[in-house]
Amino acid sequence: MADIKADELGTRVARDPSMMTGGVPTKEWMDTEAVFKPGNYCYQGKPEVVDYLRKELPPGVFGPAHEWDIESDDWNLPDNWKEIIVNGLKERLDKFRSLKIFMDCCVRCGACADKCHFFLGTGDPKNMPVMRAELMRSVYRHEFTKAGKILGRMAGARPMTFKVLKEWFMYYYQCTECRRCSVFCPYGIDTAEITMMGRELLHLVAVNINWVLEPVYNSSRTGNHMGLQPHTLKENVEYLCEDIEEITGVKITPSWNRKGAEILFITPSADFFAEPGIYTCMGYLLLFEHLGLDYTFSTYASEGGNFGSFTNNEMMKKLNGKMYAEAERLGVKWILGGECGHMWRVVHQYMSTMTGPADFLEAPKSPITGTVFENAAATKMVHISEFTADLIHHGKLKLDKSRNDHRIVTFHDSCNPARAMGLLEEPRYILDHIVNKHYEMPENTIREKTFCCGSGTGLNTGEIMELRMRAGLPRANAVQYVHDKYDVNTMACVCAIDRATLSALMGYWVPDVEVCGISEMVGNALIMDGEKEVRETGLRFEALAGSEGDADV
Amino acid sequence: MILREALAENRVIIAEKWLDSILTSYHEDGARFFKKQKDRFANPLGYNARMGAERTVERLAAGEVSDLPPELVQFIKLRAVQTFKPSEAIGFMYELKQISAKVCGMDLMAANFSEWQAIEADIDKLALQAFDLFMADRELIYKIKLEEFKSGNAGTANGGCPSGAVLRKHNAEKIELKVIRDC
Ligand code: SF4
Ligand code: SF4
Repeated sequence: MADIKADELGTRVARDPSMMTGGVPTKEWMDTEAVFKPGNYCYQGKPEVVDYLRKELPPGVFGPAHEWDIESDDWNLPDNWKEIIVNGLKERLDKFRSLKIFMDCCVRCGACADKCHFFLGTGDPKNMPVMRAELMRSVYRHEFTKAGKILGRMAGARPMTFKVLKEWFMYYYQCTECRRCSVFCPYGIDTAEITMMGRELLHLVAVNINWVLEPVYNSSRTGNHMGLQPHTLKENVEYLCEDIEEITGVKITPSWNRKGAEILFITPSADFFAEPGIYTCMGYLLLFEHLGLDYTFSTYASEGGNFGSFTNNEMMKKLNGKMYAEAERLGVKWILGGECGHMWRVVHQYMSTMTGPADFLEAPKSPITGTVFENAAATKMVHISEFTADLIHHGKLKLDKSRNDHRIVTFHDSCNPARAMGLLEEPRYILDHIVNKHYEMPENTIREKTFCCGSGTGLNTGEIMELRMRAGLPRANAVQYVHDKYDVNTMACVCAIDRATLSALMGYWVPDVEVCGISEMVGNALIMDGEKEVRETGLRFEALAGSEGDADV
Repeated sequence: MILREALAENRVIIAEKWLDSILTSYHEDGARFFKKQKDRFANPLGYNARMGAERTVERLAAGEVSDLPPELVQFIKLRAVQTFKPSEAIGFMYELKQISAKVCGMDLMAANFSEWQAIEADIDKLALQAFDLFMADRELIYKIKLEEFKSGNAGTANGGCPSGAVLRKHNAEKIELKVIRDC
């Protein structure tokens, strides 16, 4: 895949070297305004939600709640909003060295420009990662560099204005922080982190979206995105166990909030209540039963997802801390984590500098195989795919892969597990042992170069469905290819957001393809002690290959 | 058959001009990239637009207009979720008329007017199919919104605690289905 060089990318991406090397970018893009219309923005945060979060965190992190209309030209901002943003930027430049470096070191080579799915689905140059960063960099130049102060627009600098604020809101919520662009940047500039900073700054003046804030609020108050209370959670899982019993004949009674359990299991709450996550959850339940694992769920740490990471680092820290506080309270040895995306990014990339290593827990050791997961020595948290792959490697699982013969699978590398924790081989290794047919999508769309679902970072909301569908085009396009070529009918992944959003994406682009967690197929393949003689359906009551089944899907 | 032959002969240039015209609906930086990058996975929009244009012209030249080539079908699917008005999203189909006439030469068209009328009718047929597809895609989007809502994924920002109800409904539906099947 040849990179399109900067000069071929045209006038709006500066062709010359950066501030560091004295070059100046061209700037017509500054004159193009962001226009909000129904369908191209997410609804704003509810004032009561913002108000609650504001009281939860250190002063100033969330600006004062206010009523505002995104489509209007008056966002009802505080009088000193510019000062708040510029001071906020300064504070973050001092605090996060990476931000300062990212602001300074882009040479505008253009290598990242055509790597973003939002650009590929829209052709909007402000969706080129280099331009997304430039939206903030231009203000940085104006406020904090000599050349920017003196030369202004000539040096690609511009003051913070309402127009700029609108642009930030538009384009920092058209980035899923997937980090695909960073893979191609010779300087390792991570535009996702610039987006994170952009969102943090917007929060200072309470410019935000409800789809991110309300789950954060729910997680903060009740423990999970939906605000499920303990009895409901437990009841939901009991329903799943009833289905498991009907399908497999095996009765499972998981434990909740059990002190002294060896392992605390934490998964995104969507696995408890939303399709197709519930089937993944059934897979976990079967696996743990198969092993006789000494584990517990928690109704308090009932959310692996960390939408806090889509707001600001304080909120991210708080929600991450909750999982570890619960592990400490229950006195478990270590944490096993379910199929989630950004939970793992927070754990792997940010936790150790944010809260330090979880030294009160023990180094994770599989009670079945004795494997010590040294990669998790600091976080004490092991991914379910690492855990399962190790079990398979040691021959500890009784599997019948023909039970997944109704599935011809391709594996989608979810952005965060792939690029933030390097989980590339384990899911594929598991697939080798649980399905007979799986095919890779083309090389430039998988592994580190995987394409995002188009709806991550809290953009998985219905009001922007069209935006999600166009942003998901590159992913769907590669699935279409393997569907046409190999009859692939199942897209496997290890992320809860993906399970939900790819279902919609496939529904639009490749309707014959279903989305499925890896653990769901593990559950299908497991030969359980005391199970029914013949398993007629899979975990979603779908007919198995060669069986009439009881399919209602 | 003179005009169809002319179309076949000039199909590459017609498709190229048509593609250029289609891409003017995007920002020029986007358009430049969509045109240049040939890798179909690195540039799905450009690939589908290009292949869609080429194959449609080939079909038109051969008089095979009962359906649109799959690449154009995908391209229309994308147009249906981009920020175009319906007329903008599909209008490019009609441009094939002027472009074909221009490339093949107005005089030739005039000299073979009844054949040209048949070709125009074929282009109209193709355009109407594009319109049907566009509408079907729009319908599909609404259906997907509804399905997502029903799946339980929409609950996170609606306040309250609907999950129990979601699951109960899910199970109730299953029982209902079973009852129906057993009858
Ligand atoms: S690849 Fe890196 S250096 Fe090159 S334009 Fe993009 S961010 Fe700048
Ligand atoms: S992080 Fe992903 S969504 Fe954001 S600019 Fe980079 S490629 Fe685009």
